[in-house]
Amino acid sequence: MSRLFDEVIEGLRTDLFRMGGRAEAILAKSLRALWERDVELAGEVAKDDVEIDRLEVAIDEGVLKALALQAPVAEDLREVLAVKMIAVDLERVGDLARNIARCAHRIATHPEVPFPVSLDTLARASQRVLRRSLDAFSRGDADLARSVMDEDDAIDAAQDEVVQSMLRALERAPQSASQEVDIIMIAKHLERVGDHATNIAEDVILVAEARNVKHAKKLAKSS
Amino acid sequence: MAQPSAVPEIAAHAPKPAAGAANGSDLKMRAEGVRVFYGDNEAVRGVDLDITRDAVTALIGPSGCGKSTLLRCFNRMNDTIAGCRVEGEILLDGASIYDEAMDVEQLRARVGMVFQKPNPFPKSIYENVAYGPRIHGLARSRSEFDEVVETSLSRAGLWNEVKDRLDEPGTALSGGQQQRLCIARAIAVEPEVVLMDEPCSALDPIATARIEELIYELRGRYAIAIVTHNMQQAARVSQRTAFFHLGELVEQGPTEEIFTNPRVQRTSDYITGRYG
Amino acid sequence: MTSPEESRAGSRWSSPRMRQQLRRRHRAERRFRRASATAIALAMAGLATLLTSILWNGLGSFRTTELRLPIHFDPAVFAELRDLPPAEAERALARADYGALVRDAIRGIFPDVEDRRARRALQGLVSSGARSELRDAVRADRGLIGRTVEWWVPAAADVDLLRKGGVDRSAPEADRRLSDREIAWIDALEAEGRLRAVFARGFLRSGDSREPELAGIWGAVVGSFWTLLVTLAIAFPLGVSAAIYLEEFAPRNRATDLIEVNINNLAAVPSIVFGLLGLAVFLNFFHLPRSAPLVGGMTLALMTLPTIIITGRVAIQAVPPSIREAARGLGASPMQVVGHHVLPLALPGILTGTIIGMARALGETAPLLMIGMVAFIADVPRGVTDAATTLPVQIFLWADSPERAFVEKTSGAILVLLGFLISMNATAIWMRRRFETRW
Repeated sequence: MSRLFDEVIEGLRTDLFRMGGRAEAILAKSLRALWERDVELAGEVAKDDVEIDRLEVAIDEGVLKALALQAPVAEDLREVLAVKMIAVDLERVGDLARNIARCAHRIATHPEVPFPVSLDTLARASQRVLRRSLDAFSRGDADLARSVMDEDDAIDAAQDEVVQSMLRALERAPQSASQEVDIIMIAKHLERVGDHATNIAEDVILVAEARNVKHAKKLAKSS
Repeated sequence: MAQPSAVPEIAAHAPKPAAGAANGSDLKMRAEGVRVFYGDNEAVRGVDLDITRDAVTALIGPSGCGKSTLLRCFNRMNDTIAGCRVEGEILLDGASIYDEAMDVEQLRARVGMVFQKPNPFPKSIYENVAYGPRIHGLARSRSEFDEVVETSLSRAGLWNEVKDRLDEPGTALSGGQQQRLCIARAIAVEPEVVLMDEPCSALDPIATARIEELIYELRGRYAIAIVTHNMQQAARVSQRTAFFHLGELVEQGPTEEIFTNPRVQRTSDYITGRYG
Repeated sequence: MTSPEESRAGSRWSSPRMRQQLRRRHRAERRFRRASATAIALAMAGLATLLTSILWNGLGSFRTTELRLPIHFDPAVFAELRDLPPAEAERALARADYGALVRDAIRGIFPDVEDRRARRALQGLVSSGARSELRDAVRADRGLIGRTVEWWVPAAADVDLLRKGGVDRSAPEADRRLSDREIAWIDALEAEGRLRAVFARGFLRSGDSREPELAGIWGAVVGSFWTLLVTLAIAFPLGVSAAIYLEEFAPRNRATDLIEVNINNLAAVPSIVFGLLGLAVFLNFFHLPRSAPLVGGMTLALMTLPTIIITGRVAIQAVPPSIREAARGLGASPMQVVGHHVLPLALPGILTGTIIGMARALGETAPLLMIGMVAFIADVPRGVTDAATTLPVQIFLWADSPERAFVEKTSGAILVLLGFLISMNATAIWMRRRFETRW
């Protein structure tokens, strides 16, 4: 009864994209709060994150219902599982955005400190891969997903640069330790966002090509 | 997915209306304390079942558990079986179907039936569908019959396939088409309830899928009760599910609940396939 | 290279013991097939013998001999007509002495015959039916009066018999039907070309007669027709209704079981018993006319009823219960189920059974003998209360008759009866094939 299943999966995807849109939005908002030192904006993010959590619960129930009532197989089954897994990643992204907002709040209430260029690069890259991974899922585009996975190394590198830069700044200007540590934290959070985007991309490949490419490099090294 | 704390069977006999019964205004037919005997053998033991309007109610359970027998009570088809005795109340819109004022032939027009094995009459497709309206006087002129036939065949999803060969015998169609013809025939008299007794068991998977889609579409118009031994079918197609075992109604409720979190252990055992 | 296991398994089927067993089985099967074929061959041979003998004897009955006479329609014979008004003239025409015309004609051919007995013998060469033929001719065309016309009239049965080789010329005269003199006359007529063989229309169109050459089966055919009509009119509605009731409406209890057993037994009762019943009830109690198709039909109806009920029930049982369920499920009443679905579908089977029952009734003799349809009936019956006879009874009567010429007629009648029976059964089979619906 594919028609009924189509309705169910459409419902799940709609919720998922709503969740994704939210996650992207609050990530952008938290970064804007950082650049513009906007304390109020930083405060809104916590509220926005609640919506993401609510959507995750709804998707949980929807996935359970779909599996119990529709008993999907093959691509349908992978798609339902992917929705669940991506929802988990998006919920984590929401939490990370909230964390970034808290750091931004603290930075904004402390004297201004110059941000390293690599932070901006890192922020752009994280947002880019998040958006791309969601697009890839929307279109079932495995190639786009692979391009996201390829950027993972660059994001790690950018994070390293920010950390190195801040470690040097800590030595030079220990009085701004709070801001510098927060910037390091923000870099870590942004790198985690990139990881989640990679996870989403891997799920896209699972659905489209029925191949599980998670931990490919590590598994290849240990075998 | 039963919770570890599934309520044991004893609680199933607790006040049933509170547990899983339908909303009052949605109620179309109700069985209360129905017991059915074949001679001395009690096939259905004290069942309370609700059939709601605009929804599909599925009756599931292992073979021989009395679900078909109960279904046939709703249109008094058990009257045609010698030695079959029915006790208890069965209500249609609140009125007992065994009441003297209820004409059993009219009852069967209001509560239609589709059988397990497709059984079109050896007449033309047109005549098959027109038969019900004809004997109940629901259509008079040729154009009225034409309209009923076209509407019913369209609603059954068969019109496009047979509109150019309405004079061909109904028995010349494929199995799935025959069953859709039987559905068209049943809905031609504009019933309020449609009872389906394992309508897909004699069909191949593709025909089955088409009938399931049809049932899903029809649910907005009729109250449908379907007996099926295929749990997945019940899960896909119905909004309410009732689980039968050895002549008893073990549990009934919204399909989603029954299949994600049944309250009774026996239900859970059956659904997960651990029964038998 | 086969493994020990394989060769053991394979050799099990090809061991000498197995092979011998196989040969024995094959031989037994061949014996069985030969036995079946022999049985069929014997049956066919018997049938062929029977048919051949009937055909041999009976085909002759479809041809008869005619004699050409120079008939002088002597005005003197019709003298009185001149003075009578038209209505009376008609009657006078019928009463005229056509025999005289015939006598004069044949005496004209053999003018030397003087002896009165000889002359009577000479006249005996012409069938008495010649008179009626001449009468019909004059009625049709009064212009014949006064003319002399060569007219073909039916010859006597013995003439026909001689021409068909039924008289042994070499036997002594006392043992023969025809005297030497008569034979000489016939040969002379033959030599003059005054004898010819024609298709015996009379056989099929006339009723029975004491004169073999005039005897026909039409009376018996019409009698059979009326009888079967009565039989059908009684047995069909009763039988079909009973079958419907027993199958569709009767409760399954001891009483109906008893009825079923009784009906099955009645089908096996010898037909003569029904004749006795008819005699006792219809004739002695109700005083219905003897020899009438009405009584014969009623008696045969009693005999055919069980057959129709049984075949009717079988035909109704053959209608699948799923169709009944479907109809009931739609809200059809039991009567509607029977009328709209069961009966139309069972009808071919019912009709087949009825035709077979009728065919059986057509061939029945014993019960009809008991109720008196055995009299000599010369007129063709016009209704169910006229005295009549049926084909098989007619055959019985002719077979009983001492006259040699009736032998041929008997076989001829048998052929006609067989013809009817075969066509009725063939119709039944065709109907069954044609209307065999697949559910």
